[in-house]
Amino acid sequence: MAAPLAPEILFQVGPLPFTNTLLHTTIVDVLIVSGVIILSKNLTKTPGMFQNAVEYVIDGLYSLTESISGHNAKKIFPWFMGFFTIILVANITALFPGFGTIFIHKGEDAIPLLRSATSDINTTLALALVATVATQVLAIRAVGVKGHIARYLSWNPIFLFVGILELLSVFTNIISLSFRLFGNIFAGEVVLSTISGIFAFLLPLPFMALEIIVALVQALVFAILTMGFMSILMTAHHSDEASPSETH
Amino acid sequence: MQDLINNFGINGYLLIAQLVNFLIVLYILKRFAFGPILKLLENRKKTIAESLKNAEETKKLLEATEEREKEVLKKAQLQAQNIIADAKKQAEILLQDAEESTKTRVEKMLIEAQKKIEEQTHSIEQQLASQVTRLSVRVLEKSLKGFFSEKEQKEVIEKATKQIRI
Repeated sequence: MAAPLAPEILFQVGPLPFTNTLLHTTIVDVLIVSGVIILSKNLTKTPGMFQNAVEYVIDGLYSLTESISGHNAKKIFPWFMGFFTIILVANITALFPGFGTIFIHKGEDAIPLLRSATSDINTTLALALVATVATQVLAIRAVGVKGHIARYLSWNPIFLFVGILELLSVFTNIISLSFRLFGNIFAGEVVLSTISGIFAFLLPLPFMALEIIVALVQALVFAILTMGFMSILMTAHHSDEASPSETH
Repeated sequence: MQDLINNFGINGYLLIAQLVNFLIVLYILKRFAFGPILKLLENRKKTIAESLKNAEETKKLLEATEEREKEVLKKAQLQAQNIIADAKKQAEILLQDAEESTKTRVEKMLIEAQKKIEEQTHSIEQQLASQVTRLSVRVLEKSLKGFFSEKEQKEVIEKATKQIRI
């Protein structure tokens, strides 16, 4: 059974089609928010198991951010960590039993109740749009409007050409970020459902393990690429008006 | 293009819904999880650094105190030794003085005693001499009775006493 590219609509809320991917997004959001509530309520100076684990991850990824983006780490980190957390939770929970296996009847055809949020191009496109807009806003805040435009426009024909390429890359980044994530997770789902269709016992397990790695890697790739763009665009363009605050 | 959008199921409302969802969750994460934890981690780092600094300072202070203590002890020992030496000297001087004074006193006492002994022997000798005289006179009186007259007797005795006394 080959899954269609588009998510299936469970029911319609006004103009909004409530799809099975949106249901999964809601579950992921509820999971993360309850995790945050539990964490922030029990936040102490002497951490327990849960806080310790969260601290370990955040500390490690913060030093990674710091090593890449230097003094901009404080502004970039919430975006980086946010993308990572949300995509990771979405990817991992999508591997739980029930995804693509529980069907409900709607009219004549049966549609799966749950489908990975990141296997919906709407989700990944939304994430990529947020990432790109946030990158542009952070860049303008860091180097100013003039400094930011100077990156794309120049009187020097060589730099002008590079600038046009960079401007183009802003839009290709949206596409590459969204389709990379969507493609990987969707492909994984197709593989899992195909293998399960051949023989549902034990045979899907190695692919499941592979999908866990893919889930982690794709979350990390999306977050690190966003962090990279942010840190590149937040440092002043190497022109004649390069700001002296760049040295570090 | 329309085909592509339809095939992938891109839907404006769905896109906005996902976008809003994401932003809300991101805000919650940033406000209640990443922010406080990063703050906590930084505070902990600061606390650790401060404690280490404090510990080092305390160690230095302790070392300085120990050194001072040693110095004070050394001084005290030196002073004590000086005091003991002084005391010994004084004691020696006192002892010598006492010896000398007793010597002189004993000598004086000896001389006085000798004098007294001499005086006593002298007086005894005198007493003895007078007694001897008296005794000899009596012997003479008894032995001369009958041989001479009373007058002669008296003369003889007087002569004898004079001779004896001389």
